[in-house]
Amino acid sequence: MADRLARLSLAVERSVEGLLGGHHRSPRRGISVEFVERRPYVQGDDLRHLDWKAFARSDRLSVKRYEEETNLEATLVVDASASMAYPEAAPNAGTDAPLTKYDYACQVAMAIAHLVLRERDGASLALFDHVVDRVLPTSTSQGHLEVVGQSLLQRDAQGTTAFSAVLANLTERIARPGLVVIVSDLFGDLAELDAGLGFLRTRNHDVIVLHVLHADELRFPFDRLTRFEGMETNGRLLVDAPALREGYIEVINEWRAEVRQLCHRRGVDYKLIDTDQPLDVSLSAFLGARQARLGGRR
Amino acid sequence: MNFEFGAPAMLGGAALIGVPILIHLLNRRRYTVTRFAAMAFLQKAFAKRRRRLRMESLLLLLLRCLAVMLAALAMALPFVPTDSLLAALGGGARDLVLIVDRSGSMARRLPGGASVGERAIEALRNVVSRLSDEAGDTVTLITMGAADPLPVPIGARPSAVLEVLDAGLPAPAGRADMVEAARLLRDRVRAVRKSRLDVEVLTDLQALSWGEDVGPILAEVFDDGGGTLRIEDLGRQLGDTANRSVSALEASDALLLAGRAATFNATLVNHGDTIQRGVRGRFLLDGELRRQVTDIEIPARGSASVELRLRVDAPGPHHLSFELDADELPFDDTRTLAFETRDAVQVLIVDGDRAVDPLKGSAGFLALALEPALAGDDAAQPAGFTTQIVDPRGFEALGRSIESADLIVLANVGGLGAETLTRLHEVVSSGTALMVFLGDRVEPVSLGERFGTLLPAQVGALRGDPTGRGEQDYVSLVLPEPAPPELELFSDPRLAMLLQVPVLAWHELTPVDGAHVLASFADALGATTPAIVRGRVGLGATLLFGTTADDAWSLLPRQPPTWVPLIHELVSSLTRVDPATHNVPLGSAPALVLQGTPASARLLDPAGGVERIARPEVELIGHRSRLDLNATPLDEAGAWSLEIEPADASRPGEVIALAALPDAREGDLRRIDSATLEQRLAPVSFVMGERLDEDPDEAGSESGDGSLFRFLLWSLLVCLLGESLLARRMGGMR
Repeated sequence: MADRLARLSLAVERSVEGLLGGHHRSPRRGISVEFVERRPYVQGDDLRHLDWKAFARSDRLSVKRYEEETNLEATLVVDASASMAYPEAAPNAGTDAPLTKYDYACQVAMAIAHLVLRERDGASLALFDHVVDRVLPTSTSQGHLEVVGQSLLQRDAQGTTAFSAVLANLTERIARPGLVVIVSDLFGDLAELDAGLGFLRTRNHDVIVLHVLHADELRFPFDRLTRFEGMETNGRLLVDAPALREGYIEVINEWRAEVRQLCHRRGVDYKLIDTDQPLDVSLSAFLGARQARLGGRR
Repeated sequence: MNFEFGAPAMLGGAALIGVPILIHLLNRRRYTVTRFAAMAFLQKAFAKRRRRLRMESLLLLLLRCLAVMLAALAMALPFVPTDSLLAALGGGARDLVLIVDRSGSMARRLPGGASVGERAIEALRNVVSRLSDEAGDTVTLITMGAADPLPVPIGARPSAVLEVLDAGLPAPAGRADMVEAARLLRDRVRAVRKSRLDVEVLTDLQALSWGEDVGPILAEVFDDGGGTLRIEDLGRQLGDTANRSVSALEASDALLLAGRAATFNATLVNHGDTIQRGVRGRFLLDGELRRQVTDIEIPARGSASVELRLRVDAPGPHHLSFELDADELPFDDTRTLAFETRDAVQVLIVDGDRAVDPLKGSAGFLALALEPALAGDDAAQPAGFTTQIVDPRGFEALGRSIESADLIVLANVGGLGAETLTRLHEVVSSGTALMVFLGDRVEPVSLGERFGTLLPAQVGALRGDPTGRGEQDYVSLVLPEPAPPELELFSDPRLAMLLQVPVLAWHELTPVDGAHVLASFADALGATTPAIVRGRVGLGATLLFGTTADDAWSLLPRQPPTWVPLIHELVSSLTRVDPATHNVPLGSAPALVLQGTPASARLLDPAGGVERIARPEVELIGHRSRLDLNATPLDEAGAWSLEIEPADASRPGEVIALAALPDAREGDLRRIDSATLEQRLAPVSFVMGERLDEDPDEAGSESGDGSLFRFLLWSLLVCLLGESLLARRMGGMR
């Protein structure tokens, strides 16, 4: 466990050095030092925000709005279902075991947590399969990174995926609008994913989907007669793999396009992460582009 | 569609068609197991492509099986009949062997008027004309039954064969022998044509042409390079026939003498299944009618004999023919016998103990038996022999004039001078017969040393008691079983009694190699020892009698009913010319012994044609010569003559009568049935052709050798290429 944590931390250290740091502006509006706008008063508005000076000048009730410059709360939602355990190591692989999607997802989560905590923002962690089975509360402590790492590594990838229930649950758990980073292979029902993302977005969360797929799943390089067995289902299929490659790639590309469109429709940032790519390469381009987009929108 | 296979054993390789299937099934059991996360997408992709994947997989399997099948088929060297549509796939030059039946039975008329032989030539021309010189096609033509079975060189160009056909082949007359044709194919054609041979036989399927060995011999031909056999049945339009033929014409007497009546017999055969009555025929001597015979009755599948008692006054060569009224197969309705009548047989007798009284000498009884007039009876009927008796000294004085004798008899001659013996050896070797009797002047050891190889037996110890007074029992002559032709007269039990005449003393005889015993001496207990031994020295016949020619040791000379016919038969057989020498099977060449050396010769055929032989090549044998007419075989049935002009102008010219005889069996027109044909041809497979039904104008080219090897090889390559592309498309599953 300690070794795994050390390796994970090392990988994350190397990766985050190239990533962008910076301020995170809160999407929450309220008490703050920086005025944003004035709007007509409606029943139910906090009377503390009434602009008395404006009322005196115009005899109209209006309410001041400010941008609150506060700590970001980033929730890292990591898929720990059985499909994330791909590729499975041979029984006697030892330290030569290949990097699984879950391993890679852990590195991604740790890297983002590292960035968030370095900015003194708050980071929390949720692991899920068909339910949210582990949640770390938000903390801005630098020591929290280690807690996150331990939580990630204590969990093995197993169980089936159910987005709707998981994301609905998280929506209820996360009190304030913040950043929700979902790290998953998204192997589940897309309608449920759509619904779950909808829940988050209605609570005004800024949602990022980091779609982790293994190179085998993207390019299907198998070259012989193979019996494929499902990791989350009991399905089996004996097939001449090269003969099915073209068809498989076509199907999975269609699915990826569908996922991308779904995220776009929900206003969710989407990034496909190929486990064959180094972590910093995968994240830096995405985060850089996101930073630029958010800055430009401002 | 009939397929033939050059190497049918390789068809067993087709069993390997199971190998791809087995590999396919084994491969289905050899797979890796992978737990895969994106299983849902895999299943979706599989569901979309299941049908196509299965089709491609099945197609791949079929291509692999097909490749094995094609390889096995190609190695089995398959062929189709060259007139088959598939033959065009073969390509390549054809090596065609055409065996055409030119036997006498092919002269039979078909319903349309043409003979079977003419239809065969027509079919032959059709086949050859479809071949091409330019394509490298070759034809080997074998004419069964003809004098020359290879009228064109082996592997000739088609145009050369057409030229020969245009010039015309000899009329059908010989006997077809498929075994002989197959041997020729194996021993001569196959020796120079190593490639695959397409053999086509054009025949009337006469049963007697198909011997039992034809199948194995053809199998040897086809095993060595491959080939096909096609049989064109040209006689299937023919119905049953009641053909009759003259199967034999021969003289009953060994010696035919001018002015003396002789008996001739013609044997007539009915090849049909019903009796034939009222058959008419006629004997002709040298073309002139001698006897008309009517109302001959020939039993079904049987024979009848017609006799002619004929006296020919003029010595010399003659032809006797017997003609039947013509039937649908004319070639066997006439048969000719060539023979020569002689004035007399010249016998030179050397008497080793000559006395004034002829009967006191050693040869007196012999001379009287040959020439009864010597006894002073002028009214005695001449026997056809003239004798000259000399003592040994007189014999030596005769010098080379002994060459004029037909037979030299040594009776009790103990010895001759070396020069005389040498001359005697030469004369006998060149064809003069020699007859030797023993006696008290003959010392066995000395005789063996002096006469050496002239004698057909070694002379051993004297047995018996010449005086007849001793205790030694006598012996008498007995004939071996069966009786030799020379003494067949005595094979009749009634005449055999005549031989029971005591012989009191005799020498033991041990025949030399090649000699045979004509009669033996048998004692009272039945023990036998050779008595009369016949041999041959060069062209001359030799005969040794184990006792005397007089009555010193034997009572035979004193028994005229025995002695005279015995001596006549022996002398006739020694001096006769074998009728087979001048009467030869159609298509063969006679070997003739001529007096002196010929300067030139003329051969006259039955139709009156003349072929001049300017410088006959002969083998000199003493004062005679032997002429082989190999270059001019007698290829037409009937009477032939050979006129010889001697090199020595002082000698008279010589005319020899010859006759070419059709094979008597050829008249049996029974056809072989399909089951027997298959049995005869086993293990070779064959196809029956239908050339008679073909319209030559509509028949296409037969270029292409009928071999599917190249086609299969290309198909195999295409199949493997397709398999490779499909496998690559499917992702390289192997």
